[in-house]
Amino acid sequence: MEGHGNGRTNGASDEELMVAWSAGDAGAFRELFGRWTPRLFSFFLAMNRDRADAQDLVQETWVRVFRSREKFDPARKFRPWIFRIAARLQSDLLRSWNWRIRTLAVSRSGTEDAPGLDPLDRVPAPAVGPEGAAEDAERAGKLRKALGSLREPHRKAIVLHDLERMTCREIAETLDAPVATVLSWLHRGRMELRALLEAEGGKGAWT
Amino acid sequence: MSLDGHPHELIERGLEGTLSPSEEEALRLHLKSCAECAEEYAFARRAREELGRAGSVPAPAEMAAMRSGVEARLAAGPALVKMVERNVPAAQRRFGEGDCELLRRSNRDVFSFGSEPVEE
Repeated sequence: MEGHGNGRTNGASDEELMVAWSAGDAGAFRELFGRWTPRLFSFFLAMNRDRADAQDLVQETWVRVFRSREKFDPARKFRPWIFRIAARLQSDLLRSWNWRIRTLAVSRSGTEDAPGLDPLDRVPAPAVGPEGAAEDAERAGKLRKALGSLREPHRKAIVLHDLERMTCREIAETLDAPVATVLSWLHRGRMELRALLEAEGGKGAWT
Repeated sequence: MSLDGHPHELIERGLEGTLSPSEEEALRLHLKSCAECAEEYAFARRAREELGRAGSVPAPAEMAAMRSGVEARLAAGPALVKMVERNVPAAQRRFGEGDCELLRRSNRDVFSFGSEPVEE
């Protein structure tokens, strides 16, 4: 990349920064990266429950954002645009051979974790106070695990809605689906989630 | 109201906090009379709260690693495509011709910077 930060990136909108980055301003990239990477990382971590995968997917998202820079319309919001790229990558890359080859290479070279070890166990528990910390962490762990067994559209909709805090309309724009479909994904996903969690923790444990 | 008779949009927007006062009242009344929706709403609120808490952010070292990874890949550009192509024969011995054709195709897609933009 060429160019350096112009020192005026802090107060700029995401859309302005994207335009500046497209024009070669590396400082604009760094500002955007700092703002959005934690959110992309949380999204991919909730989707895949593996920190290394989340890191790879975040990097790939930024590369795709750069490749698509000329298609960015500064009159439209940055969030649905970047998450649309991330959500497509989530669907594409997990199916791709590039991804599988890497996973195979890791498993054949013997550096993978012991068989049967849930990747979830590598995700650190969220920071909570000492009181009830173990219970909170356990509950959060169960939720992440149950989420991981949902069908991908349901999981994506729930993660974007409840973690990234998008509205149903924003999710519809991001995932290129009608609002009614998003509502159905959220509803059905939650029903499945609830059934999974209640099967483990007893009826009423989550309501 | 949706086809199954339950106000799914009202429920979701209630969770988001984007209802008008009259819509809020409509939701409240519905939840009072519909046990199914009341249970779903209670569960959804709980799960939303938990998921918000469960969201894990990257450590500073992970942030730095990701950023330099992206910068290196953007700087490498087409040179990286060549590098990956050179590695394919090794992968071929390991994984077979069929898999490698897919790998080549995938690499062209993933690493072809500067070619056709992929996003609308």
